[in-house]
Amino acid sequence: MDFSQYIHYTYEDFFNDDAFLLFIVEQKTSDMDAWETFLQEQPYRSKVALAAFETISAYRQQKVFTNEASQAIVFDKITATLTSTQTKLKSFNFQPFFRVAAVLAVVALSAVLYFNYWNKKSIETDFGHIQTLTLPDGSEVTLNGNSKISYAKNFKEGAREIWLNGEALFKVKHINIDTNNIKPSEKFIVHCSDMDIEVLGTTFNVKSRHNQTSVGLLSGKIKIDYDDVSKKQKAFIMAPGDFVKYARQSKLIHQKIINPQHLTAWTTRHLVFQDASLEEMIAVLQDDLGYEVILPEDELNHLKLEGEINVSSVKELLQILSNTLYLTIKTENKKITITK
Amino acid sequence: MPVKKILHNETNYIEWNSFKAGSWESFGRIYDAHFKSLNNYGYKFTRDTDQIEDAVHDLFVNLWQKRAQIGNPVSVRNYLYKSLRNMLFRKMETQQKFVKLNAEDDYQFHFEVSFDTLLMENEAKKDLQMKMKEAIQTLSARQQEIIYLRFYEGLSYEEAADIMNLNINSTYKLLYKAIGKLQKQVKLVDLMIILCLFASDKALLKIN
Repeated sequence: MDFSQYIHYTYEDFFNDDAFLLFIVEQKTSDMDAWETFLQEQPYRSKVALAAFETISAYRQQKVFTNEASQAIVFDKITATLTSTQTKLKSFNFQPFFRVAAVLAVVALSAVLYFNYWNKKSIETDFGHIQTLTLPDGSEVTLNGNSKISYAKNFKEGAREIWLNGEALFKVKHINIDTNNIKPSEKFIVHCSDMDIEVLGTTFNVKSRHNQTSVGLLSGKIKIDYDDVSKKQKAFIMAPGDFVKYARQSKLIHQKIINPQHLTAWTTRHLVFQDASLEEMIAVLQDDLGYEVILPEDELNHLKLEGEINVSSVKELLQILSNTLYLTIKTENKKITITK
Repeated sequence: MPVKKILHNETNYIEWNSFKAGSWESFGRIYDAHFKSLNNYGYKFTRDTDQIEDAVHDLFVNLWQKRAQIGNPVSVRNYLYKSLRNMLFRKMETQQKFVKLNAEDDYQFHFEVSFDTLLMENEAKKDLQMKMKEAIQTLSARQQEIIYLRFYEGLSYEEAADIMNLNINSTYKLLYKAIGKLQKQVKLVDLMIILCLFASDKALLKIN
């Protein structure tokens, strides 16, 4: 940049000169060198230019708000919003023939549903959405993404019954007074695809997906009813800190909760894994957040990450996976491809 | 003297077109390139960071959904600035609707920059910045915004006019008035004295 063109400029002229402004904004090294030479060679005639330079520089000395901490979080929210609206849009994008068929199917289905469930209320969450709701009896349920609960409209009368598909954290209000005499109306029952959970008043986490259910009990006492290998009705009473896993007609696996925070980390949108296999992590990405994960080599499923992962975004999780397991991870839209 | 590097980052056409063609990766890169500077700009209008994040969220959700209809803006950054500004105003308006008393007030928002004194290396410059700060505070929100767009973001009159929804003539006028006011406060004579002090500092350094 040639600064000698500026020797006749007035102070105001500089504020109208785009080239001079850009020079200050960009501060390219070549320009800065020319600027220093100009100041040294023409100490008097460069005074006004220097005054303008210092004025603008003083103004530009500002505090910057980058909000970097939220960058990944906001992007995850954008992703969540877009996926939930995209699936809605897609379902309307039918061929005319299918449209008619779809309408008929919806009519038929809703008739069936109406007679079966007319007195049921249900709440469903989209991928990546977490929702907390209070039931008519004052109990609290937090639903993870892609999860559904339904309950009878006359929930408060009779036993309190909930049907769950997905993952939820329950904080059940205790209404039983005499533990030796439990009335049916004081019970709270969660029905999953393969087991029933009977409760008095507690806090516990249930995950019921792909015909597999796991229950972690944080406080109180609950009883679970399930079918054993021999198809016999079995019951198991859980104490606080217990964790059970069960798949239809198999043995119940009973463990202790090592870290209770891990069990409910999803309620604060954290992704927490302990010594997890890639398969387990992929399940969460697909089931809770709605990603489509493609894994061409099946044996990769068994890769295990020793230790604890605690991240607040999918981006961070994928970064860790690619760094520690030496994987190549490509993301496009909501599709994730993982290769060696 | 080093001026703190500003955050702006321009998106090239290859990236923009691949985003319009539906590349989620390009979309992510555009988001990453502009997130910080958009937040910095938004922060001048409101200190409510949730509101800024909401506006950024809506802006990018909209961008992705309407990607097929969007043209090729001259500058992606300016396009995003303008959209964020509209988005924020709409949000602030709905919030203010019921407390708005003075309809004649042409600007319903405030615009505020916070100066960073910590980075100033000498007293003379700190002094200059103090004067600048006092002068800036006497300007209207509109005037402060145009000063910001021009002297901080380095935009031309046309670009600033486009973002602020003004015609070029009023932009000229607005900036002239703002600079005029500034000059009344920060006089050239003062500046010269400050600069002399600054120069003698340098001279002293040389002697030592």
